[in-house]
This record gives sequence, structure tokens and C-alpha cells, in this order.
Amino acid sequence: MSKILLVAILIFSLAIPASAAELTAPTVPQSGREVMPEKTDSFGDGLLKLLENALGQLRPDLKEASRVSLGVVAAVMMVSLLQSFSGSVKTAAEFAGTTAIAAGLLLSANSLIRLAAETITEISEYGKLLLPVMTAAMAAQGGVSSSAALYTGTALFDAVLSSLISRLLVPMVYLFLALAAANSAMGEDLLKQMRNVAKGLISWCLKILLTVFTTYIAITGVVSGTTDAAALKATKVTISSVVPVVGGILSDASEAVLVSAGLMKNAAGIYGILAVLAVFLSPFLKIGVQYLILKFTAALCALFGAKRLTELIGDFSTAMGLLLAMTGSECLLLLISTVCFLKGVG
Amino acid sequence: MEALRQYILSVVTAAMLCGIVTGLFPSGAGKQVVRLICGLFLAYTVLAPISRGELPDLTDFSLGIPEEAAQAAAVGENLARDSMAEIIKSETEAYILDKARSLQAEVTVEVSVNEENVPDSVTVSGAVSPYVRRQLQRIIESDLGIAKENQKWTG
Repeated sequence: MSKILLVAILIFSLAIPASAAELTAPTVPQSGREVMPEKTDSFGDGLLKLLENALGQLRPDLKEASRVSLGVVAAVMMVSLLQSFSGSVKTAAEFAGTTAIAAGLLLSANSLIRLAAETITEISEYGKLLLPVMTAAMAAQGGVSSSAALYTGTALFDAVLSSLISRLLVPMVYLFLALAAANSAMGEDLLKQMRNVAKGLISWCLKILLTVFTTYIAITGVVSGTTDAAALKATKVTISSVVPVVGGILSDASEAVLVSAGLMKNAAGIYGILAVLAVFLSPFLKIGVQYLILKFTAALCALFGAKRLTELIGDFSTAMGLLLAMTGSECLLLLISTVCFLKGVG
Repeated sequence: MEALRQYILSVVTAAMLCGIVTGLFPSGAGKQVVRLICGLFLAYTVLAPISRGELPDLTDFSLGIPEEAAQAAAVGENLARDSMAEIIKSETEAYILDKARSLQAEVTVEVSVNEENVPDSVTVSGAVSPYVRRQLQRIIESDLGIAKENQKWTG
């Protein structure tokens, strides 16, 4: 009888954890609400719904990017025709063509650069709300050292990355485009080199930061995971040494708390990942579409033989690629960290 | 943003100026010298504002993060401890009630737990015979480790 009663109480305590309601992931930000799936209990289904919603929103951007692309192709064709003349007309045509294409593409590039910067800030802000929840849930599950180490690493790298992007890398993209436009107009080798340096610096910064972050996560995962596992084992040994009945009750309660903490950590983690993806996916796809269409446009323009203009269009597509790398890095940083929280005590 | 606009405008203007100046000179040694000067001028235009920019200190970012991490972990620890205390309290009370019922006694029980979440005192209320009381006292002491002096009996 007493056993049945104990089991009933244990099941009840598992179903409604004492303070589970306190540890839930923060609500998805406004920008991600439209694509966020309603049901977030299954990660696979949620992800599919998220993709479906994000792809559904892409049509107007596709149209706009195609319209710009057609304008650029028409301008390149005009310049190619004028280039058949010799002397100053050729130079003037190339100069005018560069100015027209750079101005046309800069308008859409500018809005996408701002979109990327806003998305990065939004993901970072959401991360600041999600991290304490995941840390508390993991600590409740016994991973006190691991969760604190993960929080410290993620918060530090996130602060450095988002600050680096907004203060240095986004201005560098503008600089890259300015140098690309100037290079296209003048054909100066120095400008070309500087443009390459700007591009290299952006990719190098992102690669280094992500590599250092993943190394930190891997090392702290092993070191603090071992500490937490040892602490959990020590607790179990202590519990089993208490009076038999009390030992049993303590062991059941400990198990119940670990399981319920794990449940709420998983729920918060899955919601958090989907929320981060909801904020990230639409802008990423918008920039991605622009990137692909510009690549295609550059390939098409190469047929007309306007080398410098083709290179300029290629540079704009590279700038979109850099934006994809920046938003992707910020999102990846938070996803890696959340997955590590979900993995729990090693 | 205004400073950035100014910077990009100055780079583009400098590049165009250099292009025009270089274009004005006929090919030869003179042009080479002009190209070199233009190159230096361009490099200065691009690099000077960057070198004036201040790189933020790493401590600006890390300030307060370890404390925040410790606070968040403490929230989780407290949550787990409180939840565990609740479960242990209710399971221990249920155990005592079950034993009392098997002795045909109607009582209410309130258990307190210490910092390690081990039951350390109990208050039993209800009218029970001396025999049942002795039996329950013994069970509580031997099964749950709550000494007789920490058992309070009322009613």
C-alpha cells in the first residue's frame, strides 16, 4: 500500500513539477512571430513548419531581386554596346555604367546590410534572455559548473561577436563595396588589393571567433562535465548512506527533480532554437536570394564581355555572402550553445 | 552612421581623383611616380580613419558575466532544492499517514526538512491511543530517522 502511494506521489510530482512554470524560454521576438510555428513540442515538425512559413514569405523578395537584376543586365548591355566605340566614349561609358550599376545595387544592398545588422542584434538580445533560462534548467539538473561555464563562454563570445559585427564588420562591408565600385570605375590595382583585404578581414574575424568559441565549448564541456558528473555521483552515494526509507524517498525525489528539470530544459531549448531560427531564417533567405541572383546576373553579364562591370556585380554578391556569414555566425553561436545546454551533464 | 558615410565618400572621391590624375599623365616614368603618389594617398585615405578608431577592451565585454552566470546557476540550484524539499516532505508525510492508517489512527502530519533535504522534525495531530502513539513514534524514528525529541504530538 505504502509503495503504491509513494509511486502515485512520484508520478504526480513528475507531471506537475513544483516550479517548472518559472523556467520557460522567452517569447519569440516580434520579427520572428510570423514564421514561428504554433506547436513547438516536436523539433522536426517545428522546423519544417518554420521553413514552410519562411519560404512562403520569400516571393516578394524574389520578384524585387529579379527586377533589380534585369535592370543591371540592361545597363551592362548598354555599356557593352557603347564600348564598341573607341576613345573617350568607351571610358565614359564604363564610368557611367559603373556609377549606374553601383547606385542601383547599393540601394538594395544597403537595406539588406541594415536587415542583417538588425537581425544580429535581435538574435543577440534574444540569446541574453534565453541563456539564463537554459543555465538555470541545466543547473537544476545537476550541471552547475557546466551551465555556468557555458553561460560565461556564450555570453562573452556573443558580446564580442555582435559588437565586432556592428562596430567593425558591417562598416567593412560598406568599405568593401566602396572599394569595389572605385576599382570598377578606375581599374586601380591598389583598390582591388584593398577590397580583397577588407573581404579577407571579415571572413578571417568570423572564422577565428567561431573556431575559438567551439574550442572553448569543447574544452569546458569535458572539464566541467566531469566535475558535475562526479558531484552527482557523490550526491547519490550520500543519499544511499541515509536511513533506508529516507534514502529511498530522497533517491526518488532526486530522480523526479532531475527528470522534470530535464523535461523543462528540453522544452525551453527546443522553443529557444526554433525562436532563434524564426528570427534568423527570413532575413537569411532574403539575403541568400539576393546573393544567388547577383551571382547569376554576374554570370549572365560575363557573356557580354564587360569585365569590370561583371566584377562589380560579383563583388556585390560577395558582400551578400559576407552578410550571410555574419548572420549565420551569430545564429550558429547561439545554436551550438543551446545544443550544449540540451546535451546536459556529461 | 554619418561618420561612416563621410568615410566611404572620402574613399570613393579619393579613388576617383587618383584615377583622373593618373589618366592625365602620359605613359612613362612620370606616370609611374604619379601612380606611386596616388597609391600612397589612397592608402592614407583608407587606413587613417581605421587607425584612429579605438578597439574596445575585452574586459568591457566580460564585466559582470561570471557573476550573472553564477546567479543563473544558483536560480536552478534553488529551484531543484525547493522542488526536492516539497517532494520529500509530501512523500514522508504520506508514509507516516499510511502507517497511521494501518494502525487504525486518524492523524494529520506535517514534516520539516533540513538544509540537506533530510526530514528532521514532524508534528503529528490527532487523538490516538498511547499504544498507537508509541508504535508510530518507533516507526518514525527507525524508518525515517526523526528522533523522538523532534516529534511533536498534539490533540
